[in-house]
Amino acid sequence: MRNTVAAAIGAAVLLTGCTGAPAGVASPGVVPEALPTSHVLHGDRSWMTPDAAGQDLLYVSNGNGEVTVYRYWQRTLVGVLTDMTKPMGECVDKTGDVYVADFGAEKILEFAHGGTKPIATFNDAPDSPYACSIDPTSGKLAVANDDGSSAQGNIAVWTSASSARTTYSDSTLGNFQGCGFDGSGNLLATNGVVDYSKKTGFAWLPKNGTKLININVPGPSSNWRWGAVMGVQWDGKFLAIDEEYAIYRISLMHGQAYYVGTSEMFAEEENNTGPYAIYNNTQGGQGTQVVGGMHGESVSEVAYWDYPAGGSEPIATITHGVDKAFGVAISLKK
Amino acid sequence: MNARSLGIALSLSSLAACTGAAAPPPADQSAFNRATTSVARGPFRLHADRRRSWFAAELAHKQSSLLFVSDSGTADVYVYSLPALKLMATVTGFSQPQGECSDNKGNVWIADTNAQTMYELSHHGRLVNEIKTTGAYPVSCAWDATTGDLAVMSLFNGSGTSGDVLVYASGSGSGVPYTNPSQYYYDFGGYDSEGNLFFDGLDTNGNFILSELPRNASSAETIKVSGGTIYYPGMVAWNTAKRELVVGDQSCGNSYASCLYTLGISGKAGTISREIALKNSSGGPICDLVQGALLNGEVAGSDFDFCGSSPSATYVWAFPGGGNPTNSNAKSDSVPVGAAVSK
Repeated sequence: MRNTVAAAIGAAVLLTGCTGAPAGVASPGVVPEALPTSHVLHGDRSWMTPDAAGQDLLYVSNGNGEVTVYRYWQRTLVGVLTDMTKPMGECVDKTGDVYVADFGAEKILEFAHGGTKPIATFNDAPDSPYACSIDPTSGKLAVANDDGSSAQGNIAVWTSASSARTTYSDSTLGNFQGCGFDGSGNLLATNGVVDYSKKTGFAWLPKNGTKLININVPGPSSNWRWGAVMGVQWDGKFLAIDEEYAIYRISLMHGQAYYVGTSEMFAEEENNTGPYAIYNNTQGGQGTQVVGGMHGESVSEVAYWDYPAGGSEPIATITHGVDKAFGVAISLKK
Repeated sequence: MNARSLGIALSLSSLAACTGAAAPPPADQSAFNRATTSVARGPFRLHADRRRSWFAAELAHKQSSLLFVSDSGTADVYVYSLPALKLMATVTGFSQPQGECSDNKGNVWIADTNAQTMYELSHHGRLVNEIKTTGAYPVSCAWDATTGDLAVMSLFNGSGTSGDVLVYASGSGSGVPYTNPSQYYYDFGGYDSEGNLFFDGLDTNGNFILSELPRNASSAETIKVSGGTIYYPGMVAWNTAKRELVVGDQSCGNSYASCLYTLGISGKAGTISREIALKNSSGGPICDLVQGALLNGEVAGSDFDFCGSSPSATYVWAFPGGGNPTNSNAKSDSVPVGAAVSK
């Protein structure tokens, strides 16, 4: 039984003049399901309920340019982050800080868990950040840059917001739409959903490595070909590669990739799904739930499944405030 | 059908064809007659590939030792003359070729991890046999000269649990699994001259482990290594002349470098007696020798250079001296992994 959280939205709506991605009709600004008795405003319209910091939180980048924030378990809205041009991929560090790749503004914003104002900004110009990942062994930030068909993107790595970034390019892959560190600090990057002349492929940046190395990543069959890869992340034991309705688990060992298993996530409607975020509240163990955006002609929501089991339908969904969700991240309470 | 069984089904179906447009051979093959030939023979076929296998004409009559190198980056197996390292063949159609071993007939077994298959190539690079290792992830093998048995190291189980060693009596039939309960990942192995199998890998804590499956034993046991620290499992080979084990470390000194160690084996103890440093053509330490092969007074293998210090290449070094290579060939390698000498 689906447990859909679809709260009725009041008549008072705030129109936004954003340039959201993916393209679509911009939705009105999100208001809380029940206005909190006290909430914090920053910039134009960012807000967060005071109790948000004490909750496991789900961050969702929306096509309308807003990042909506939910209590992970209750799936209720606790805040909205605005003032972004085109928020896309998200990632989280060990302390729970959330990083949002603002594709349109060519920068990555770091928010404290439950915070409304960026505590750091990573300038990615002239590149366009699509997704990000944090090295669990060093805290480095890696960003997948997609500069479009007329340019070559790169992987940009920062040791801190004040440091200069180091970029790594790969002529075989061209642009990058996803990257993820494993538990040892190796980075697996992909050019993702390829619209250009390239094939979907992967490259590996060894921990402290100096160059990207193309790597063949096997799938569930020996003649597997990757298609619409949406993202790469660490599930606590394996690298997890999103491809629409499935997550493929991969082990990366000394430059060799091995296919481990597949989680399939389905829903009633035929929707575009992903990228996903994996909930992991274990020390060194594997994540237990997976959350991803879903959108189609008649639905725009975020859905939950068990992980790695997956399932034929979500165990829960969120629709309130969701507008063609793209990036998602889970920040655990401290 | 779950994902794993689906994968196996697709894998089997992919073996049905062996087609692909011929590609020009590498430049250094121009001295030979170009005998582009399908590798398919008898009932056995390799996977469809973007290009066909290539064999130098003189290879068909060559009786001297050859070095087989598997490359998971190009999914090909290269055959080199020894000691000159002249490319004699490129065998295509693999999926993820990794570790190798050779038998007394001069045939070479190739562990194709992603295809879950062991392929047996003749001395001249032609496919003569295959064993499906369904459900296993074969990464290397060892051939027992005392029995003719083939041991296949399966890195881990497809469901993400620990691997094992599969022993195929006389290189056929069904594999009999053997494990060391302390070992999780199973990497490389080699038989000694009495039919005892030594193999390395990582334990359940991610640390290097060396194991022995004594001849006729029902389970493997840990060999405690002293005299140094081996960080990441590499080649395992028995040096008959010195009655010592040669073990590779892909992270020598816990760095991006590879080296070899010789170990004296006594009971359940292995004592490192020598560290052998190996250098690349630039004079620096090699980045990653995954598997090397011993031959008389030499060791041959390839450096997968993800460190950026030198191109990936295949080398011959003096053994046990190591140091600078005596021969090299950097024209073909992408992600070279396995090596075996066919005599």
